[in-house]
Amino acid sequence: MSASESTAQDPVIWIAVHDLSRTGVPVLLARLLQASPARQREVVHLVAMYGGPLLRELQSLCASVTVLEPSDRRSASSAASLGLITLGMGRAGEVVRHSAWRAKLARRPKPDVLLVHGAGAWPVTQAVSSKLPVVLHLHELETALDRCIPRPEQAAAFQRAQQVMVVSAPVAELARNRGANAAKILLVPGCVRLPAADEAETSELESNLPESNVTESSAPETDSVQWVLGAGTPGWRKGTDRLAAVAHALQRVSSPAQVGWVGGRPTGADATAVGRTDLVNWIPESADPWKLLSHAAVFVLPSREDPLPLVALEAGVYRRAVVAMPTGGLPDLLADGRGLVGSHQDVRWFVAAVEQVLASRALAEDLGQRLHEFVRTHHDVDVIAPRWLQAVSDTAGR
Amino acid sequence: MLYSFLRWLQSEGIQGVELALLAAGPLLSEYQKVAPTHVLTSRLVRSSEQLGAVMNSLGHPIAVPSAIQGIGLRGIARSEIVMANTFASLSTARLLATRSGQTSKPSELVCHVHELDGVAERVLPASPPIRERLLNSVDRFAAASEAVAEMLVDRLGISSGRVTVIEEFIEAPRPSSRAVSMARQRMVGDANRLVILNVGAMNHRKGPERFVDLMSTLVAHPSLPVGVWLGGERGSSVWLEMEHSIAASGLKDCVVLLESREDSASYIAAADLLVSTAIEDPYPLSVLEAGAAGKAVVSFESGGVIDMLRAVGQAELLLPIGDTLGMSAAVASLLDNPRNRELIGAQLAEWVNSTHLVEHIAPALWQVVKG
Repeated sequence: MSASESTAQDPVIWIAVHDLSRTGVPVLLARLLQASPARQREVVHLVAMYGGPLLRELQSLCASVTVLEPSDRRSASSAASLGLITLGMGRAGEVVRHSAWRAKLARRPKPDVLLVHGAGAWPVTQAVSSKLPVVLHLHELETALDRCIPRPEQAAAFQRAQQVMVVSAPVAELARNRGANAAKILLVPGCVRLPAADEAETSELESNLPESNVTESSAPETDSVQWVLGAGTPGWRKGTDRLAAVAHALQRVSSPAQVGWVGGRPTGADATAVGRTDLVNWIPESADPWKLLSHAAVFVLPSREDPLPLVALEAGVYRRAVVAMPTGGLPDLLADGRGLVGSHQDVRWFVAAVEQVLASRALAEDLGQRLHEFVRTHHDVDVIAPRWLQAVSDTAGR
Repeated sequence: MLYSFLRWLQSEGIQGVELALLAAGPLLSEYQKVAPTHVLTSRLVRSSEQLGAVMNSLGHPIAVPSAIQGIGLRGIARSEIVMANTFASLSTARLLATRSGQTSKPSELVCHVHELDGVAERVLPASPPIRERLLNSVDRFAAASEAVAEMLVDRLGISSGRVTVIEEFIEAPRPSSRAVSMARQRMVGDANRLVILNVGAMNHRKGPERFVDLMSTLVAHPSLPVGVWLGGERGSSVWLEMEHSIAASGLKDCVVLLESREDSASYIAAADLLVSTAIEDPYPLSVLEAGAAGKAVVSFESGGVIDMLRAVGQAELLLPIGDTLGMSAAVASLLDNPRNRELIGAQLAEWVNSTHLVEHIAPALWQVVKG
């Protein structure tokens, strides 16, 4: 039997994920699967509530991908379900929706374990047997968790899960506070693929920066301009509104530094006002944001709530100096001179810290190097992926 | 503001105005006192809108025939003029206007626009031809501020000849001293601390997250100011976000969230300073009420507040949208200098009380309505 063939004793693993967007939770899943042996990936079946740009990549990394709902409109079952819920028939609405999901999943091999990768995918547990062992990999802090699983249902959810994996210590604390037994909790943090031999040197990447990466706002002149850059899905949680405060403060002191955000322009209720001066360069998301982000003189994380953003670890790969608001696992990650992190969510401190790093190349290099060393020794995907997969397999065997 | 306008019409003895509400609300009984009022909530027009919304969400947009929708409007008398108070009610107003045209001359359609781009984008039809048809059906637009007029002409392509700026107006607020003292008690108890007030719905357009950030920069100010956000519903998603932000910023003793109240004038009168952290606001009535009450105002540059602060020569109290530290410096300077605060408050009071009360602007609005 070749190494790529699954064995009879390999448990069939279903992994549920909310969507396949190019954001932290699905990206981490792709990274973990990529680092897992091909043989084990052949028994992994992915169940995504919604699709997204990572679909093709994930299809190549596991035995099957089932997308339950269309992303651009409501399915007939979802609309019917919503109608019933609106009419006060919530239970019937859920039955309709979950029955449709079960029908979609009927042809997949019977699972031995369900890994819920992110609390956003918790509803998938309703489409499987109540006896199926469940692992919950929690990537959320308070407000995100409350949106994914209603507060009154959280204790039952944590009891339902045989194992609760968490991405950082504050997430573990939250899980305990919301009803998870401490003995079930296992720390499985985010991770990165490290370059073989310092391929991440900025000088090498600069020559690879395609003009097409920056199609919105002004294109970075990476050689002559200091860039303050951040990345992620714009909104309250990521604190993207704070970039304007940074940009205006820098302008006030006549700093030539530019402020940019990779991940697109805020939309909907978070949209920036039309017709007014906007000093922030909003740059669309891309498959490889670090082609651009690796030019950052300062990488900023103005987040209000972020359990352990992958981009912070990636900043370490590229030896970027990080300035962050204190949330989730960031204070631990950036401790001991590995970055600058505030003691409170304080915009004045944040702006001052950005200015401090911009003013000292030596400081920026030192912060970047220390973070690089830490990420290399603590967040290597080749170390974390086997632990992750082992924990899931162990749960199946219990 | 609509209520003030209806009261003014009543006081002027102007007859024949009826009100059709898309939904009832806490002011319903007040409206009923000043004009015959119809609530459309349970009628077919709402059902057909919901049906349209469901079909849209299924990816099969449908236009419900206006004849069917019109059945829900049968109880409302035909009128020569139909006025939509906001873009949000324009589709229904158009139905009322065209319904009249089935057997006689169509009604003239007037729209009083209180929205800027972000909200307009959400409430106007998404389909460009349907949107264009709707906007073209309007005979006259009243724009709530210069910024709104700019949007109508420059970005929605409406000819400037159809647009008249009719700035927002208020009735002179007259809260009782007891109400003011109770409001003060609710905001800071017996503490001798300055109150920085922001009045507005709890949504990101009004910038509550920027307000919390602003307060994080003022926490060490010697006057130990208290930031009060008045507006919103306890337990809503943005409310919970703000509670999270307040705790994470260590501001539990410095920021108070209070739910929406009808007597906001009492809170404004009890505050020391009003700020507007909105990133988009055509003309917040709260800043007019603050001005009328002689309170200084600091605001991000959006909508009518720009005109107000420039009119009294206080443009430095306008900060670029998102410039939290700039706003912090402006607020701190006013906290440091009570005489300046009073002076600016007096300037604003004089301006608002002589130019932006209902008796100053309602006649102009009535002229636009009549054509």
